[in-house]
Amino acid sequence: MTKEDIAKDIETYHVILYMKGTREQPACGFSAVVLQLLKKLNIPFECRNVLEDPVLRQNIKEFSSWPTIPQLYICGEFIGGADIVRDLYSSGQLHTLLKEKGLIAE
Amino acid sequence: MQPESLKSLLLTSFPQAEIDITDMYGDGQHLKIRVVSNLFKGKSLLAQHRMVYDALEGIVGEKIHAVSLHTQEVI
Repeated sequence: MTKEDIAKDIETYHVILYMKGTREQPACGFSAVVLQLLKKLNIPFECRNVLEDPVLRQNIKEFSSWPTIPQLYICGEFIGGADIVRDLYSSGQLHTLLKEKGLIAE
Repeated sequence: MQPESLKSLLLTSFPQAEIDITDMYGDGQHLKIRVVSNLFKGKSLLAQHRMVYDALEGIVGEKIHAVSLHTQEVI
């Protein structure tokens, strides 16, 4: 996946997670954390497995200027990795953000 | 990478910060880094984490495989 592809990807999908492994089988603890939280929020989201695409794995890091995976994007905006997502989830800020974007009812 | 060298590196960008580095598995590859600094004041968590990654100058992903970051301003 090129950077142009990534740019299109994050515009196409409201919630998209670049992770290691798949939705069914996350391959890393940090990716599993974000996946779990997204599932708990019960919102539709897209996943990309960087382990399947080494070009994506490199490009997403440069695209986001962020050295690690997982990476969560909401409405084209980079939210962060596992630590940030976990923090935003516990503080309720993630929920608020999703409500603001109309991605979650209540 | 040794936690001590990392700590020194971080102190150059965050002077007087409280910095804790834990080697989670003892392999120098999975680190938990905690930085408490007034330089984070008023900044989003994302901005705070970016500051730490910038301070680490590309080491994450090269010499260190995974980092768990905890940042906050001084209370």
